[in-house]
Amino acid sequence: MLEFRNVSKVFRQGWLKKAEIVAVKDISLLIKPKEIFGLMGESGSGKSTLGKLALGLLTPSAGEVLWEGKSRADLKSLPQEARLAIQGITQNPYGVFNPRYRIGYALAEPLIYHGLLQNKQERLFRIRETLKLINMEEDCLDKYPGQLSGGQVQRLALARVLLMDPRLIVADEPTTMLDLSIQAQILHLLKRIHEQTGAGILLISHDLPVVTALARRIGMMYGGRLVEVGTVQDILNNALHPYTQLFLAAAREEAFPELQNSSNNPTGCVYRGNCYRVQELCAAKSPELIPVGREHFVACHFANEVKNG
Amino acid sequence: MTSFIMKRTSFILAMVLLSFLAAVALLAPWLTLHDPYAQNLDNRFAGPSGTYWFGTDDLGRCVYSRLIMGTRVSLFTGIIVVSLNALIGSLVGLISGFGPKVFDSIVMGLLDILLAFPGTILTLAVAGILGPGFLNMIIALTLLGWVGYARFVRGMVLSLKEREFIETARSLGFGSFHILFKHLLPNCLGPIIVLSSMEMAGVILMAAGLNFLGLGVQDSYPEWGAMLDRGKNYLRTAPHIATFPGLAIMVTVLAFNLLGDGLRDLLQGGEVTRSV
Amino acid sequence: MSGLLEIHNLTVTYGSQGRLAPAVRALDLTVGEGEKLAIVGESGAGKSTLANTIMGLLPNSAEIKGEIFFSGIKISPRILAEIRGKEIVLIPQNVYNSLNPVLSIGNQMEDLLVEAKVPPDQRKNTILNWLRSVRLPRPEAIPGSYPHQLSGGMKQRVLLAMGLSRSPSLILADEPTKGLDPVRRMGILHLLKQLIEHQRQSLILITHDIKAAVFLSDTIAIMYQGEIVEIIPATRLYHHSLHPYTMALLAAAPERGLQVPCRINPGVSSYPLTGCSYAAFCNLCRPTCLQQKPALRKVAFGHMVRCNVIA
Repeated sequence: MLEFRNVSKVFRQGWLKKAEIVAVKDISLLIKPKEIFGLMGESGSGKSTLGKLALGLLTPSAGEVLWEGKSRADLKSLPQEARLAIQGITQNPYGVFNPRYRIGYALAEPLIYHGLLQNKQERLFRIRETLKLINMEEDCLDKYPGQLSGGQVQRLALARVLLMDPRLIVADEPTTMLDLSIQAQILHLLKRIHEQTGAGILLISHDLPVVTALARRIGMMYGGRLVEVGTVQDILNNALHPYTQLFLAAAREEAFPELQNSSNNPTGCVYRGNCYRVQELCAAKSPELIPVGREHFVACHFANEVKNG
Repeated sequence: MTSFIMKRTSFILAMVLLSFLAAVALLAPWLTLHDPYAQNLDNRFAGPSGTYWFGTDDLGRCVYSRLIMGTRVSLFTGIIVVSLNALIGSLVGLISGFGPKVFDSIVMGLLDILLAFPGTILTLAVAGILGPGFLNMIIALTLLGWVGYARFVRGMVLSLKEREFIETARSLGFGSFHILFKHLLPNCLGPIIVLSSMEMAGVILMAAGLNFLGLGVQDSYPEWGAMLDRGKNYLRTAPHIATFPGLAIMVTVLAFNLLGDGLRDLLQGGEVTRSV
Repeated sequence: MSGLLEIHNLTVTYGSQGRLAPAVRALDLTVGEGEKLAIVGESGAGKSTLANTIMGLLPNSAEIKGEIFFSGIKISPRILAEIRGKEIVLIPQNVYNSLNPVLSIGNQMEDLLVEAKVPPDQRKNTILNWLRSVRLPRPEAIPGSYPHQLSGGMKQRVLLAMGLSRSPSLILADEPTKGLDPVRRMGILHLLKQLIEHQRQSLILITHDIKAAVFLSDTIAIMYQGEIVEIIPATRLYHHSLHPYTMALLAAAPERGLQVPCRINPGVSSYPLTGCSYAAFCNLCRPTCLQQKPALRKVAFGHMVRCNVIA
């Protein structure tokens, strides 16, 4: 169970670090055990930042990230099992492997380092088993990452993560750079891994069909904020936030949106610059996520009005 | 295709020259014709002949034999100084690039101050203060030599740090020490080796220079720079005394420069990358 | 239909790297006046090589065989240099590296106007009109800004404006939707469609985004391993395509249930020298397919398939 509690992340840039870029603002979200949760939104909406916060690659500027109720602020103080419970794969699979090492070493390295499988025979057995799971031949162990195709390397990146026996896998745009046929394989594989190991998946993507093919719940982000959360059915059939509606219409090729205005509003609603139902209230007050269904939440002042017609 | 052969030629040529030099250094005692220290005052300034291949110097010592023995000193100095420089510099650079920002700022500030001195003059001054002697020469050459490595390695670490595999290494739970020596260092190693082989030439030249100025090893010890120094006084009457050590220095420096070029070209293609 | 761009028997091989497999193999293609053609394929299918061949942007090591005619004139490097950027325009895939980072947008656009001999007093207005035509918000602020100040989407539109400014007769768009979220993707697709339909230009769209191809083009050519395996009117693609590879590609889309458990694209380097190049992955494969190379045969109006079994 992963919980974001009022998490914000601000990057500081420029002369004397005066320029602030708010990547993620005041996010509260609970990802249940063994759940596949899809995080959607445009590029720059903060969804990747949220993934990195979950992985512990970034520390929140405010708020807390909790795993099984324990804060991950000080990872070193946690027991090894909790520390390694969250693992990730990313968009560019070539990037995640050190080009100097063969795949065999890259797969074994975390196991050796963390003392998970000290016995060489046992280790090799586990690696072979995992290779079978991801449909790779054993000869890839002797190759360098650059000698393999994108789909193969992505599967191996997944294999390395699986060897650590994670409870939650953060998959940040795992298929964006891959061909359609390979994308299908990776998604199948993620699904099978979820079913076989019970690992939860935080699937970050802007591709609606990819997310709906796997996820049970979807969170829609815009301008660093979570603007709508709900089950796939809630989102697909009953989206209430204007951005979610626009996103869905575009994904279904029903709307032809113009280039969006900037989402960089320091006060008020992040979406008010592009919103068709904008009113004075939107500039004054930032909307909270309000419940509109059993698992359905929308960050819009007028969500209930819209819902009730 | 031609560039491919060019790459190999400079590397092969360097290897041939260096193997030759290494063999000479190793087998020096068996290659000499005479005792390199033995003076023969009756036979000073003799030109090249069957007995004295490269002639004799102002004290009647065999130039050829001294040159052969000198190979050891030159290569030894070069290897020791460059290894020390590379070791210290890489370590400082690695830690500075990957460690806490405060440490990085302090180290970089210090390096900038050190680099503000004209390097050659500082080396000369230190060598002058410490006085002649092999150890003092090594110290003088190391004092500033590592700075270049430190800056170079730090720069590489800073750019490597942004690469995804370093970030992934962190998310796999590896500690800083492991990332530093298992992931960053191996990716820096190729360029460090290239830089070292290029530096080698400079160090050997500088060592010869120090010896030439009387700031190197003991005077009687056969060293190319010191021999050059002695020979310069008799350039008109007995040019062979200065010419042969000069040629030896030139060939060695050339060999290491070629090695540096060759290694750089070869290692550039070493990292197998592939665009997605 | 008169051919604006005609490609006859084009084979492109990247030679010296030890790779013998041609990236494009004996390819014939015609793009008519005002026709919008999409070339769809996976990585390694040769679609980028084809685009670069048309634009004359291949590295020197590439060996090109075959002929390309543009408006009935055989293209040579000299002629290409003359018409590139004027008659044929490439909208590049990588918007980040395609603008000069040290010159302002206005500066870079003005260069085009100087070349087109537009008098200085009209230049500012012309630039603004271009920027308005690609519907950039606050166009008056754009000429003074530098590429790093613009978002990826804005840069893409600036490049589009620059490309279309010379009213080319053929536009080559290389993966215009790659990596875009649905909102931005639809935005750029709609804009492209409107601009091109308005000026009745010919388009070659290079993409792996099948939906974008259907949205934007009249005809879709499916490329596999350097060959065109199927040419089909865009409206017929989803329901009437015949080639097993096309079917597999369509079935692999997540919204169609992720139906492809096995790999359908072996990658860049390997394909059989005899027989059908898709034989190893084909569910209709027969013994003849391993020996006999299928030809592109017509099956319906505007619909051609390269398959021994179907055609």
